[in-house]
Amino acid sequence: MTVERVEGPAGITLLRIGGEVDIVSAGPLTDAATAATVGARAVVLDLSTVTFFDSAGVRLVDRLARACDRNGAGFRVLAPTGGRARRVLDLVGMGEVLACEDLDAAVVALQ
Amino acid sequence: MSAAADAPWDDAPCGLVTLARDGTVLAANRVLWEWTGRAADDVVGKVPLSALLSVGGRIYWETHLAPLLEVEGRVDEVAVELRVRDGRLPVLLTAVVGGDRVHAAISSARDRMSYERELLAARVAAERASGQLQALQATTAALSRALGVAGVAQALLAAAVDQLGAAAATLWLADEEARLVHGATGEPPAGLPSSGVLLRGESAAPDGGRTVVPLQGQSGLRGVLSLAPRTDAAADPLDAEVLTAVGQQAGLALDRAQLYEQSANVARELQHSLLAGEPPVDERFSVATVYRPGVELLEVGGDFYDVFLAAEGLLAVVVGDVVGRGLGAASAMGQLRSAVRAVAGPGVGPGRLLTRLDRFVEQVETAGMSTLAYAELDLATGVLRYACAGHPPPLLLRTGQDAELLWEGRSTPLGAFVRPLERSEAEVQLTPGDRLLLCTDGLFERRDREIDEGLALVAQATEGSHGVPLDEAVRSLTSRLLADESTRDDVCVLLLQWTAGDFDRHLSADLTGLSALRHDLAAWLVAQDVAPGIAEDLVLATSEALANAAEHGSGLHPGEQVHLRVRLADAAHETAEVVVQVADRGRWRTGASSHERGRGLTIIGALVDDVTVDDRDGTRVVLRKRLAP
Repeated sequence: MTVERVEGPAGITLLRIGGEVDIVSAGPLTDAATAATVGARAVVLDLSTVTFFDSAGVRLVDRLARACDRNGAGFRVLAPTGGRARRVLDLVGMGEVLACEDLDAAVVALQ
Repeated sequence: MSAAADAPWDDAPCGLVTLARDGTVLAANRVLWEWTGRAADDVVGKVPLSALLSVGGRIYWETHLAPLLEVEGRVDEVAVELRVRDGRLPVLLTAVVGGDRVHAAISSARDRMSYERELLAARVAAERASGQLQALQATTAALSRALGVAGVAQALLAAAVDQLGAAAATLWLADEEARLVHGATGEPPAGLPSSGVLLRGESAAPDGGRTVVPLQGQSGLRGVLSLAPRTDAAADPLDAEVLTAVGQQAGLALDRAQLYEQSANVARELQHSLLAGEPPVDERFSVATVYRPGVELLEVGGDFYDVFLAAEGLLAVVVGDVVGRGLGAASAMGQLRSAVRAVAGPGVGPGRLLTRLDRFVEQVETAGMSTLAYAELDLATGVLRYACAGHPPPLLLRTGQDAELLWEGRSTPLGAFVRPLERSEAEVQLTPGDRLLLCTDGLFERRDREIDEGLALVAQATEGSHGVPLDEAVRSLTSRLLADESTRDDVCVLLLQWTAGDFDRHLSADLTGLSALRHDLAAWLVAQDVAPGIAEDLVLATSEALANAAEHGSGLHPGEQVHLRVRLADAAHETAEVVVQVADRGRWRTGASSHERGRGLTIIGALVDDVTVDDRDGTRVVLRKRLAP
């Protein structure tokens, strides 16, 4: 499990996390992802390929959201409906605010 | 007449007599006078010949012979009786009319009569002897056909009345302690013969109006047959010699029967002890077996079954059929059964197991051409791998579906000359509650029907057996299929049910292995027929609970453990639910991380129907999720 950083469209920094996000993996992933947001104008966290996602993942999203807010960067999560991450984010009431169905929607949301 | 002239007349080897035409005796030779004891002076010219005959002879003379002489002029060899000094003498009378005289010759028939009587007696005796020989042969044949001591006793009692001419019979048999036990036919058991008769030994002997036949075996008196004679007029008396011979035959037959029973008992005990082992205990499966010896109870066959763990969590079931009967087949069965256990193991698999058994069978000739069905069930996943060496296919019984014969994974009987280098095997995924039936061909094979037809009957007989407890299901199936009693073969049936059991794991509190555990749990839930969406939610909820327990109860300390137990409750009903219990030895602390722990609990609460926390002894969290929509 690693964080892949890609320069996306419209100056957006795209962070892609795959595999399992749980209490074991979330700590290092959170650190890596937080580091990757430094200097970004806007951040999209792509969780569309995670195979497991729990409250540790929710904590990760929460940390990133706070970090981006501190840096004045916009933040959205790419977590399409039906995916593992969206299910959990919706359960804790964060999906409605942060989750986007695809990258285009995220770009629109961040403009 | 001169003396010289009288000599041929007087010395003739028969009585000679000259009569007047009216029958009056005119002259007779000395032979006649000596026979009759009469003086010539009293007779000659005074009495007729008929007066010298018996009453019957006189009547015969007057009514038949005299008229015949008148008409024919002669009579030849007429049997009459002459009155003689000490009674009557049978004679043959020949008479010829010559002018006014009748010349008669009378020869004694005493010797001839007794000869004829002897001839008749000899013929009767010969016929009786032949009848007795037949009776003896029939009795011997019946005795040698009989199986076991009880069979010999029955044959002997039947023969006593049917063949040996007794009205009724009682049999006394010496048991193991040399006491007499008895049975009877045609009468209530008669009293014990007198001990004197028994002591007299080996021959049939009269005893108070009955005939007592000792039955001598090689090592002493086996028993006593006591016969009541028939009282009707046509009955022949019981023949002591025949009865003595029957007694000897019966004694030997009882010897053989006892030896046979001993050997059959050894074989049966051997077989029972070989089949008696306790199956392994594991809540993830149940197994029930039936072994029924052939109709002839003394015959022991080579059918067997076995249930054992081939490896941790890998259940092996086997049903086999060794060719032949009796002690040889039973001991070959024992060896083959042990060989299966010895060969089975982690990573071997059904196909390779059969290949290795081929090699074993080549060294144990009596096990050659044995057939075998072998299956391995992964108790965690329900994956069943199986192979059949010339054996009837296993029958898969799934809830709510038709029984399915597993025709894959087949190859020739063990040790067959023509056989594949590598034996094939097949795999099928069981779902919890599925049952698997293994049996030997005695269950369904009959002379008068095809094998496919028999297998179809087995499948048919399993209908509606789901939900019936395993023991009862296998028993009723067997008794239904064997109701016709037309098989002499022994029968072995094994019914296995996979119930998956609980998902029970310990997890190190540093959460090493959490990911693998989630995958195993997901597989387990799918194997319980839990819908994929519900399974995902349950895995997530369980993972949250485990993480909470490890983090807040045990401080992620690697020395601590978290215990997880997941079970399916009420699986057969609408109230079916999955119950997850997570236990640790610590106490969920409140404090800095309580907010985030709360978030985990929020997720859990949203995913399952009920959450309870019990922290009286460590912390136990129980989650319940109903399966019905």
